[in-house]
Amino acid sequence: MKKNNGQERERLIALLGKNTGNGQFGIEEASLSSHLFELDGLFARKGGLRRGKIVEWGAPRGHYGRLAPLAFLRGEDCPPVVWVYNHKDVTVYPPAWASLGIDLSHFFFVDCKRPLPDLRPLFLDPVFPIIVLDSPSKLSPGDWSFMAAKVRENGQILFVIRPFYLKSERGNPHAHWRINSWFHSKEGVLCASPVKGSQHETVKLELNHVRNKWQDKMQQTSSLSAST
Amino acid sequence: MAGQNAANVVSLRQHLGENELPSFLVLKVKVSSDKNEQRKLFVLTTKVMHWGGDYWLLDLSNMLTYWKWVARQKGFQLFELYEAILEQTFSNFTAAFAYHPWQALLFCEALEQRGEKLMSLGTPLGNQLFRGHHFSCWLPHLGFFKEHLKARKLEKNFSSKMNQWQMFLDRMGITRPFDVTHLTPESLSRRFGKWWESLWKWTFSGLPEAFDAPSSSVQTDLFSSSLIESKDEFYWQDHELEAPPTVERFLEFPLLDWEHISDQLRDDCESLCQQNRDLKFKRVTRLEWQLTFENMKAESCQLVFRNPYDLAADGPDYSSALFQAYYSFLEVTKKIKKRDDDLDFPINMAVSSWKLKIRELMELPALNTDLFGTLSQKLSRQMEMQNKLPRELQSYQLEPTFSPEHSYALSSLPKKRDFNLAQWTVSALKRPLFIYSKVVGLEPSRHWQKSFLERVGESWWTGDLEGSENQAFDRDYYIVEMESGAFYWLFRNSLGRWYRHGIFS
Repeated sequence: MKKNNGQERERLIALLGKNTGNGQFGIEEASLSSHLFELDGLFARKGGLRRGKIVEWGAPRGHYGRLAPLAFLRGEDCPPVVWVYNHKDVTVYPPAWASLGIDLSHFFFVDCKRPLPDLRPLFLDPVFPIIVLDSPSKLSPGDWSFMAAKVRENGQILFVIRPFYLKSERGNPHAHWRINSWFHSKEGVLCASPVKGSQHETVKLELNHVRNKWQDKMQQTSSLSAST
Repeated sequence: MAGQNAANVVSLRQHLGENELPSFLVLKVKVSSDKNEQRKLFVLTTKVMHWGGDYWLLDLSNMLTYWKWVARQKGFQLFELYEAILEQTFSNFTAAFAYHPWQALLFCEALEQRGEKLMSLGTPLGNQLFRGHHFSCWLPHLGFFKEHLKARKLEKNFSSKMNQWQMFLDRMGITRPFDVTHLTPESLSRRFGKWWESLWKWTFSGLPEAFDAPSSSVQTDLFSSSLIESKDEFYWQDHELEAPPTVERFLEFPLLDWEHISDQLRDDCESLCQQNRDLKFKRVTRLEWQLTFENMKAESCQLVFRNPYDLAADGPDYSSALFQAYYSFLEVTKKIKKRDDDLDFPINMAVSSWKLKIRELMELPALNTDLFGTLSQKLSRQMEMQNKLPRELQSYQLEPTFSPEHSYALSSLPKKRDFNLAQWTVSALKRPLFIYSKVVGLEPSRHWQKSFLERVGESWWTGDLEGSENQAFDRDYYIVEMESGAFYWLFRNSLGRWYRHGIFS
């Protein structure tokens, strides 16, 4: 397992070197990691996913796109997260989130159509270092300016998930990265394609690899507790 | 090994298993009419009612999350924490936790007769003691109940009904309520009146013997118009120690914009703290902001805090209070706009004066004075954040079942379990992140690309499904790629009908 990880890392470093042209592996220690080298690689050029940054994800519903941002939020060491969702007729199904490695004890959900102005206090006080706005109904340029300023000031990380694919023609100056994420059913891979912030081409990850990454650890724990 | 066993010993007096600690507490304690003495009653909650004599009713439901947090932080069980606070606050008391105030009164009387000090329903010993209580426990409380009804002019001949009831018990030789659980509330209503129906229902609230639609709800406003109709509700009246601390403001000129109002309101919060120096030893759970508009119409805004709010420490910004005031102000202005839409009033009505009152205050017990200091900073800040938001942040915990609908629950604070939930967690690996609030039937299409995931059996052994459409149905779950390319979580029941349950987002 260790050997595989090593090979993967070497491959990623080589890939990063090729793309950035300087061969430096620029991910800083304090950055948020998905524990998936390919996905982390998308953020490497700008020093990794650090505090004060905004990532806009294009993930239409029904296409597994949320697995990519979720990969950054799993594990007990992940700081408290508030996930603001606005999905018509649906509600979260927590067991599936837990199965992906989300620690539900510090993961909070709010069903809110207009996070701004309704949930403005979340941006004024950095109680939650990570805020996810999943399909907000309307964000004005003023809202974006406010969020960008506060996220930078408070050292928070903001994910804004859009229920549509992002296009480079219509930009967003406030987002440091813009990434489309979807499941390619024919190839059986989860794709993450940067629109802004990374020179990488589309990253492809085996869906089972993304999901099982955490399960391997959990199953080991389960079998260990069963045997004791 | 012996040490491990010793650590696992749980008192039958405290063991609640999977049950939550009931939220109503009856305290039998001698408290003088001195206000400082009566303040002690507010150490656990802001909602206290004087029932009669030495009996005090405490509603802990609005403080539950806070006390759970405190207990977790101090390494106590919730019951142990309450016990420690009560022991430290009162020298001699009898206290009972139950699912309904009336039930708690009877239980407290039963404990008093047995010489017990503190117990909760839901524990093995508590349930056994309550099941064995005699009708003699009812007598003092029927008397107090009669006084409450009389004071509110709700019933004139309750005394005669009480006599009839006593005669009935004597003639039939009935001594304990749990010997006659087959008596229905309706039959008691026919013979002794509607109040006996309610009393009978309240007695069995939350227990397996409970009748249909048990009512543990409490009517908070004793004098509301719905009082008479809602006979199943218990008529709660808050005990007020003194006139609530109030600041009144007459504006020099009417104000319309929140920006201007907020500055003045912030000053009023400061004035409240200045006038009541002891606020730093108290926590606020509700403020009342009474607004008077230009047309002299008054509107009342209730600023309710989910967790006890330290008003004195929130200065000079008073951000939690101002956020809640802002949400209420928006609601009120929206309501006024809607109401006055067809009149010739200005579109927005300006505010000419207001009163700010502290309606609910909690005293910090001696044990508790350092609680905010010892609560981890992270938790304390999350509690403050909850007070600032207009809607509650939801957190969930997993339940050990494979049934999709029952495999999670809303939780203010996740339970600590003494077993690993890994196998249930793993089973959800191929389930979607979002499910539909309502399961919708679908017509199958030959264009669907589907793949079988799992078979889930209904819990036929619980008996909940009897007579329902889903009786003893298995559900075969599939992941289906629709024509649109989106992936859905669908199931087919034993009759071959298809339903859409979730979406793989």
